[in-house]
Order: sequence, then C-alpha cells, then structure tokens
Amino acid sequence: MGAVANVTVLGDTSTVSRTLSAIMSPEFKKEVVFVPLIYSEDMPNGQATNVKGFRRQGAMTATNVVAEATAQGIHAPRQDTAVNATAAKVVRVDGISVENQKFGQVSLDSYALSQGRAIGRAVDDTGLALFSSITNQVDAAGDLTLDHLDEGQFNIFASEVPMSGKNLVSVLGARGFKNIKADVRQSGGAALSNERFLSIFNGPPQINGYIGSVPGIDLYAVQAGLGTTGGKNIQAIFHPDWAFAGIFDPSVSVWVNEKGSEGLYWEMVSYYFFSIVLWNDAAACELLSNT
Amino acid sequence: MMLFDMVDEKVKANLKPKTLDLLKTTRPPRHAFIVFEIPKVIRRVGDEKMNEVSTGLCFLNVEYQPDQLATVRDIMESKPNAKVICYGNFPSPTSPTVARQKYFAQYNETNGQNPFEKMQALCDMYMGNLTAQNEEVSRLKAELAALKTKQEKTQDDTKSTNGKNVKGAAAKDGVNTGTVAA
Repeated sequence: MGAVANVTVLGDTSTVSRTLSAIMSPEFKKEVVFVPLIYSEDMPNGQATNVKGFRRQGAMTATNVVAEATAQGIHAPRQDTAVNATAAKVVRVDGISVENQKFGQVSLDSYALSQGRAIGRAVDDTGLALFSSITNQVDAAGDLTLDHLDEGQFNIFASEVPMSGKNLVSVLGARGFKNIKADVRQSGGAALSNERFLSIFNGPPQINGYIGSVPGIDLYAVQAGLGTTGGKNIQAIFHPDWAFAGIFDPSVSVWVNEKGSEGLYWEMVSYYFFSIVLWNDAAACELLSNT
Repeated sequence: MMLFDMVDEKVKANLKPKTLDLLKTTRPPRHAFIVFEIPKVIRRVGDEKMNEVSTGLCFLNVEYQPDQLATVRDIMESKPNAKVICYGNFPSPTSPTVARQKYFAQYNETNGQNPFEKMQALCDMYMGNLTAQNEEVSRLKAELAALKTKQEKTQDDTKSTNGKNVKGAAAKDGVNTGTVAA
C-alpha cells in the first residue's frame, strides 16, 4: 500500500537540524590536588618586590659537659636561611567573535570559568613538577606498596622534621593508588581487620583527590600531571606544613577587551600570579613506582 | 625519542652513569622543560645498608612560568654539583604551529625581550660552562704535552753537547746570547 497523498509531513514545516541537551558534560581534565596541601601565604603586593623569602631557622648545639673552672668559648652562631619564591604569572588568552557573542549560547562567564580551570591545572602541575627536585628518594623498582610509604615516612622522621602532631601527606598517581589498594587487599587478616587500613576502600576518591589514610599518612591521588623518570611515576610523601610553600593571588584576574581593527572580537585574558618552592628538602621524600 | 637523544655529547661526558641510564629510559615531557642532574639519596625497601648516594633527574616545568630564572639559579646553587642537562619544547617565533608562536608572543615584554629567550640563554650559559671547561681542559692538556715534549728535546740537546753549557760559554766569550729586558 503506498503513501497516503496530501499528508503534511514534517518536511513540509519549518524544521531545525537538532536541539541541544539540557546539560553539558564537564571537561575531562584533572582536578587541583596538590596546591591545597601545602603551606601558603599572600603575595607581597605593594611591597616593591615580587620575591618572598620563606625563612628556615637554624639550630644550636650545646656542650655536654664543662669541667669545673673551664672556660667555654662562644659556640658557632645560629644560621637562619631562606628560600626565595619569585612570583610570576600564568596566562590564558581567548578571542570570542561578536557573532559568537550575539548568536551563540555560550556565555562569557563559561569561557572565563574554563580559563580559570586551565590556570588551576597549570598551577597544580607546576607544583607537582617540584617532586623531582627532592633529594631523598624511595625507589619501589616496581609497584608501590605500604612498605614504600613507610620507608618514605621513615626518611622524613629520621631527618628530625618537626611532626607537629600531623599526618604526612602522600600524593600518588593512578597506578600508585591501585597498587596500594591491591597491597592492602593482599595483606591478609592483619590489615583487613584493622579499620585504619580500610579507609581507601570506603567510597570513591574525593573531588580534592583524597582517597583514604593509612596510619600516619593521608593519601591523595592525581589523575594526571606527575612527571616520570626511568619509566616510573615521580610521586612524593611530605609534611604538609614544612616541605613546600607557595605564594598565591587570592583569585584569577580577568580582562575583557573589545577589539575592532583586528577583527571585531572580544579578547578575554585571565592571569594569575603564584610561586611554589621546595621549602625544606628534608621534609619530603620522592617515591618512584611503576606507571 | 628519549631524553638521551636530546643531550649534547659534551654535556653527556660530564654526567654520572646513573644519570645517563635514566636519560635513556625517560621520555621528554610535552611541556616546556629544563632537566637537571642533582644528587639523590636512594633507599630501597629491604636494603638495610646505608642509603645509596647517587644522582637523578630533576625536571623544571617552565611552560606556564618561563620567567622563573631565580628558580634555575637556586637549583644550581643549592644542590651540590647540579648541572643543566638539556631543555626542550620552548615556544619560539619559528615554532611549527601558529598556536605555539602566538603562545610565545603572549609573553613578550614591553622592552622587546621574551622570558622564554632569557631562560634559554641562562640554560645555554650553564650548559656552555661545561663545554667551555671541557675545551679549556683539552687546551691545557695539549699545552702541557707540548711543553713536556719541548723539555725532553731540550734535555736531549743538553746531553748531546756533552754536558757543556753552550750559552754559558758564549756569555763568557762576550757573545750576546739573549735580549736584555728593558
């Protein structure tokens, strides 16, 4: 039986090629994990310099036994030092045509938000790259295990780092996260019956990268941004108060400039000043394990 | 391509064996970077011996902050025997893609300079020091060898005159044997 004649079909009306979904999936990029884990201070705004020195107090020694009527000369002076953090900017520039602004559905706010996220990732990755500058290193020579985390904790403890009653922090890659879960699972009853080892199995990783804790160490995982050396991920365990330090702007600065003779578009510029330094080398330990 | 292929031969000559092994098995980062050789104290689980003092690679990410010249100087001054091994992926006016060329231009300063170029010059200076030192050592060694050869020849000439001091004899005879300094 053929088509019925004179029926008004969809093609006879005004149509659109498609409509858009109610929501847009977010960008598939890593979250900021490392920056909130370190000591931070404000920028030296208005102080005629872009450099802030993070100070380190020297130590004194005392003479054990001084015999009767024995002169004791002046001991070596206490030597305080500092590590300089020099503020520099990270920049993102985009051009949005007037046609896009007039007829498009993506607002300038959305572009500004994307620029901010890109800057956040850039800041985080710059900090993660400092892991390779740590002197003390635990080389897993394979998969990461709890023993390697303990070795890193030992290195920091043996360096006489003031613990301040805080857990150390370990930033791992995706493979390191998986390795630790496997190690706990394979540890048998001793670990599995101890609730303190089971937190990494309680729910998904948090938005700030927190995946759980083992005794004395809070674990965080980054999805990307870690460097590699010799085919291994460069991860770290460190004291959150003393290992790394940074100076950060309170927020990202955004400019919107209207351009004419260059092509009628809006130039959106986001910039952010920051600096991250390895403040006390002994308060951190590099962890190398399979990628 | 591994980092080993990017390193100048003269720089490789001054690196430790552990560093060279790491360079052969490490890929360069995708962002603008500088690689250093720095000392490492390596501990392996189960090995109860003293910590192994060795060397390792230190990466500095300069993709987003090319003007952190002070950081490079800090690494070179605070880490004993630190060396700049190589750098890479720096944007430039002649980068392969237009986007990368524009990225370079974004950092142009008002005085016409660019922090990526200044960083490159600083790295070349630190790497150039090694090259210059190697060349200086080679030149001095060649000079020393030439002087030794000359000394041996002079000793041979002295022996061949039966131990007589030819110059001394000439002076005694009133012959001008040299130039008197002013």
